[in-house]
Amino acid sequence: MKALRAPAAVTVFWYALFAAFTVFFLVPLLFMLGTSLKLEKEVYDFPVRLWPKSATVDNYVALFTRPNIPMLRWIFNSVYVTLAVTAGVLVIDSLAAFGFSRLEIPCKRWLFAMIIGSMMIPFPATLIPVYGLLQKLHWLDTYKALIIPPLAGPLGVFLLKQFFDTIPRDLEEAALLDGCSKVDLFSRIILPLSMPVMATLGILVFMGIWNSFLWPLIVTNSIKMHPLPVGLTFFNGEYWSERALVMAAAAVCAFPVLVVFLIFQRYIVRGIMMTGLKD
Amino acid sequence: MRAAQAPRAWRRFFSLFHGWLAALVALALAGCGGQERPLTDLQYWNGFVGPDGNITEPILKDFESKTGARIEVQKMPWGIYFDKLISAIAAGNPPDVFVLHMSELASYAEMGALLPLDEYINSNDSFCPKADRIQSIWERACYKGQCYGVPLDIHLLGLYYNKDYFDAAHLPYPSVTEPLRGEQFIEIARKLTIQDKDAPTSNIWGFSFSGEPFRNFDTLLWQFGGNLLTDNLKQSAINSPEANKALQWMHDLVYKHKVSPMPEGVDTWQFFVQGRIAMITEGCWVLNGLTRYAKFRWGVAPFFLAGGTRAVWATGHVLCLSRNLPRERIPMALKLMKHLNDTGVMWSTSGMLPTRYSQIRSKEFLEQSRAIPFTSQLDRIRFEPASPIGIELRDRYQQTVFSCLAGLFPVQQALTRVDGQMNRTIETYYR
Amino acid sequence: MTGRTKNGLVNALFIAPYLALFLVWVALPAFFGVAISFTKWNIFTGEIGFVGLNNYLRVLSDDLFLRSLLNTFQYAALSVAAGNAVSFLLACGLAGGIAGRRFFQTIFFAPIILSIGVTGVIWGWLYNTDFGILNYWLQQTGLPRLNWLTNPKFAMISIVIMVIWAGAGFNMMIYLAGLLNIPKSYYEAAQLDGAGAMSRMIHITLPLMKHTFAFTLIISTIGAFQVFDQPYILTGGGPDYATYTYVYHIYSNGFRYFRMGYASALSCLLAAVIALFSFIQYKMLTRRRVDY
Repeated sequence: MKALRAPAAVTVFWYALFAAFTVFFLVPLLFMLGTSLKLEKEVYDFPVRLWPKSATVDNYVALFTRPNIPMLRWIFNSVYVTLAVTAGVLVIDSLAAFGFSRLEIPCKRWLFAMIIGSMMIPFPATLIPVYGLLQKLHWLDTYKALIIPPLAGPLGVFLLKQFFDTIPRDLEEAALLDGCSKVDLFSRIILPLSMPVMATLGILVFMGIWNSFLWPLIVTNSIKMHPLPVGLTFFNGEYWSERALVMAAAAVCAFPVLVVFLIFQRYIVRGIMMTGLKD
Repeated sequence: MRAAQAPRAWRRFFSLFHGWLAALVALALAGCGGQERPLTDLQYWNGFVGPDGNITEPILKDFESKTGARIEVQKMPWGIYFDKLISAIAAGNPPDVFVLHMSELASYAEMGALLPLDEYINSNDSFCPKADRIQSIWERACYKGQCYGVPLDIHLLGLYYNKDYFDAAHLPYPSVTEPLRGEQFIEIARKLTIQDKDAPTSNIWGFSFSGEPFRNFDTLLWQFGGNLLTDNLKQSAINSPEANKALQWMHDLVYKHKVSPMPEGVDTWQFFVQGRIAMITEGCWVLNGLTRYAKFRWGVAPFFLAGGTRAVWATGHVLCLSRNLPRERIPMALKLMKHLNDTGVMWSTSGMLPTRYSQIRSKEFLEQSRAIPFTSQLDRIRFEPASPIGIELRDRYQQTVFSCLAGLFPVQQALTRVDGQMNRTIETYYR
Repeated sequence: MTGRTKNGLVNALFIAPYLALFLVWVALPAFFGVAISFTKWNIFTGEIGFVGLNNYLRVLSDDLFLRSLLNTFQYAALSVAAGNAVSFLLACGLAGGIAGRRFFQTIFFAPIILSIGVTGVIWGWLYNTDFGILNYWLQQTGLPRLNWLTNPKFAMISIVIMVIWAGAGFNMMIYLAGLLNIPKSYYEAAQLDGAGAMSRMIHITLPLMKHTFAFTLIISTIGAFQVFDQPYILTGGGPDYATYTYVYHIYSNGFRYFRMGYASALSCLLAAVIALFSFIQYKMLTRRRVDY
């Protein structure tokens, strides 16, 4: 299929299919962007317009100029927390995944099974115990509450272990024979080969933490500690959500993630290409 | 050899990660140790997002300047408000003052979540003179003879209408004090409805039940003489001829008279604001938003009278304290509650009605002419039954009422069904 | 202490940081959750009493237990199958060297970066029966309108469509990576042997993608069984509980009706169900090792 000469009919099929999917994916996005550029009074015009007659950036301006709304502080909180969690997850999970993939550790299989198993517990069951723990530690309403518990998420360990497992062992056997230590093995062989997978995980974690809402809402009590998505609920009401403003806020929120994606999408693809050379 | 190499290897490893590690260390050091909040730092939690939240601000500023306290407000949409509130109370870290609805108070009180307030607010008149309290409202903040809260306001439904469409159809505006009778109302709705398949963009619905349909259902049920639960609250009363009439009446608006779309989430309200619906039943809490966003002239009338009994759904915000609140924090919290209740007239600019005679008869309040359609209905307000499983029962019948109006079940089948479900729920609870 | 054990303990240093976090923030709360499932616990007052298996037996008399579980199975089947099919199809197209790959890739991925709250608002609005843009377009083209969210037959499908829109891009990226990973020479050799597109897919692509499928399917199944936000925001579980999912039921019991014990028991049952499914999936996907 790849780069092979395909019959014209097949080519037409793919382009038609992609055109259809592009419409499917693009319409709601345009709707969102279009709404963010509308005047609040035009938002519910009927027939609904995807794009406003005359676009305005007023909503974006309003987001940053509302009195008593510390937009910049929220952005800082989000950036700080997201980067800290992403960095932490990459370091901690890659070490753990390496351990699970390559090293002899007592009860390794059981521990790993337990970690995977923990993904199956739905959030309402653990929300209150975790909150209680934060309270006992006096961590509520601090950055620690936003950063430390998410570091314990099991997804990264699972993903990285799956990929480390597919890295051929021939290389490291040779290296070990040369007297290379385990730390070297990790930092000089496994990690460079996996940097791209790390990029995948990094994006995944970045996105998840950046967008997380319920957890930061519950553990932060003061306005200055809110991350961006929680802060933005100040614009959102059951009856009077100012829709244009909410959409503008969503766009502002999404923008950094889009940039991160655009930068790293190259690595994601190359990444998984390099690992898994052998089944 | 390997041992000799290891430290170097670790160094290399660290150098690879030093940026991240620095971040981690910084993070571990950041904000070490929690501290107790000073007694003058008050946490006040509520769901007043949107225009009503802005009105709280000057009221709280006023309190801060009078007492030297500092208030941190947490306002968030009601849907997620309770997740946070429950977690906080459960962990023994409650806000000083928080808001519940009268309809939720029974569940929380029954669970022992709320601090009984009788000794603080009922022992003498210093909190609020008893003669000044509108008793029918204040008693909704009590459960099983004990007070658990101070009412902040009450709110009820009214009939909002688009004056431009009334003019276009040469219809007189409804009275602000007398409810339209059911048949009158249907007639008007029919005249206002324009449904043309060939020109869907200019279609207008004469009416819509807005938001969550249970408020309208409750109102009609009471108007037709029915009830949700029996008087001892231990059995469903929903499978009755009266309930049948009420639900049938709603159903007819959609399917027989064809003057209303089926209800579909709170968005419906936005379509009224957009001029796609000529009349809608909604609470007094939307007044400010409507003033700000409507592109047409509009008016409010009392909820129409479809059955033989005057009744309209109402609830109110209640200020509560957690039973877990440290004792030394109680006096300041009470002060804030008193202040919020005292400033009921100012709060009423949000559309909510005050809870004291002196306030509701005050000049400043009466000058808000838009409140008349709501105050004129105060003689007929009804509240949801104070059942400890009221929230669960409401979830149940709301689901069924909605499904019936969406055309899934005929009226009687819906009622039989939900009657069984509610009775089973009650039985399980009291077993 | 034998050298082997000592070595093992040194090795354990690698997993120690994660393990410490895991034990404190995941295992401990989970253990607490399991313990709670055998009690009646008043979250407000802290009163707690052992009730044995009562919370587990309660499911027998709870009509919404089975209803929500079946809904969740339906959702999981639809969303895992359709979602992964779309992701894989898109990935195949992208890997096939379509022009403008970066553009398409970005478009298909973009919805993921929106939060579920915003996604819900957008789609609720698109789906609205009387005032939504979808029905308006259907009418313009002379087609009958659909009750996207108020017809119990469509409601779950409507949610799945939204979920595919919002999430297909991620698995697509993983599949794409997996596909690009397969050396071109395999395909060229196969073509020389006269293998058609179908046979190349069956004999080369699918077997080589096994590990990728194992990851994506397991992760998306776990996610699908825990679906909550989407129906909560879009339909409130309706109409008539048609989109009332299992975690929604757990949430209602724990956070709306304050029955934490029962909510915990429901959670444990769900974890068992998911574990069973994941185990079966894993066994099926990794049963045979294929060598090329």
